[in-house]
Amino acid sequence: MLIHVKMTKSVYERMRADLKRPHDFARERVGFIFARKGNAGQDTLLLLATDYSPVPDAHYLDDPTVGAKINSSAIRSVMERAYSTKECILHVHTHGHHGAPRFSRVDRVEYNKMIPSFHNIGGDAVHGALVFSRDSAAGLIWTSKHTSPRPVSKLTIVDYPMKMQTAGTGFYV
Amino acid sequence: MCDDRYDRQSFLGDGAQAKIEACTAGIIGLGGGGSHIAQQLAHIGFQNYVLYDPDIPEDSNLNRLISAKVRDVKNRTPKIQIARRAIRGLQPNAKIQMIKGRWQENPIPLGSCDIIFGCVDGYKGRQELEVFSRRHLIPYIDIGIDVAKVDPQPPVLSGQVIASIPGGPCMWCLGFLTEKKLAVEANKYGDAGHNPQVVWANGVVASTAVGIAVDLITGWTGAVHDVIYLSYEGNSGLVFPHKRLTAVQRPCPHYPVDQVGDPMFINL
Repeated sequence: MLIHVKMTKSVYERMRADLKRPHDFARERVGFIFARKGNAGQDTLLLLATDYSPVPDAHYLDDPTVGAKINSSAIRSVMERAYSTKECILHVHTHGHHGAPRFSRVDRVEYNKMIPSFHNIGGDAVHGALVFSRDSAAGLIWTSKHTSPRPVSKLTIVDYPMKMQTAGTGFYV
Repeated sequence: MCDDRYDRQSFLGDGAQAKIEACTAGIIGLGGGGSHIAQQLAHIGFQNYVLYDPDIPEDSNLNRLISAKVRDVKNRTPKIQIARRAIRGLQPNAKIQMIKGRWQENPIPLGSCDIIFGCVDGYKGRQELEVFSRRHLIPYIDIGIDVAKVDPQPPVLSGQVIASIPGGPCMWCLGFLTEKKLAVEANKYGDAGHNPQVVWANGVVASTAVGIAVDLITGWTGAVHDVIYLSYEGNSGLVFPHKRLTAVQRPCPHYPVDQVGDPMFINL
């Protein structure tokens, strides 16, 4: 299955601008992109970003062992929205280097706890995570609560010029 | 002598050919405008196509239908097959999805496109294509020409090329689509009529559209746009930015960015 994530320049720039803001104690910021599914055929899962939602400063927990840790209120608020709108939830954060990023071991451990729980909302939305480097990105999507995540195959920032790349060559974003 | 097929377009930049080859182009309407676009995309190196047209060519199409032969009229060869033949002649391994019908009756393949060219008659068809493109976050490039006759002046040949980029101003914002134009067309039961068409004017707007698409994909000019609206004055052979661009409203109020994806019911 080809998983294609698309977002407009405005959503992408709002996300970038928020994630690069310093926090009082967290070493990095995280946020959430909401998306809806589009129909592009049986073999393609098309995720179309609708909005970027920052995590309020007060929802970060002071934990020096990780770059950023957020509290249950942050998770609850995105799940409440997704429950109402039937949107997909994509957790996003950045790595401050160039080239193709990878999810860290901590990322994967935490995502395996957090993202399947988003499926408790019900409905047919899918949920996942994206990590952006300075010029690239990678992503994982959980299509159900009990299946292993699938990699995002293609990411498009809809702009002029368009920024589009497929997995394996490093996302150019 | 150079062996590299794309050496003469290497100025498009490092990695430009890979971006072109990774792109899926949808072409709606393989008549006078769309046949130009299909042929040019194949020359440039596009490898993925979604083609829609319900029609077969008639004698009256042969003044402008690129790649069509006299025998295609006799053999009733569908326009999408003529386009495929043109593409295959240049790109034998291209992936081509052909739909002999209206895109509205089978829109799913169109959702996989990275860019859509609209080569349709009438405002309703354009409106529907822009709605689909916005819902799927796909840049939409619209072309068209027309001939106005106001006696005793010579006929006025004109046209337009519009690049409607999701997040930017739309064809409503540009004043290209209006309720009045749609109402006039609807009063004719959606019949846009048989507009005069000539191969050279179609070629100008189609080539301009292809140039925009290549820049959109490769970014070779370094230009940044949120919309393009070009006017073509066929009598003088000029293409220039439409004056309406100076008064366009931003952000687009017609297609909010959160209204994407498939329509669904939501409990209120």
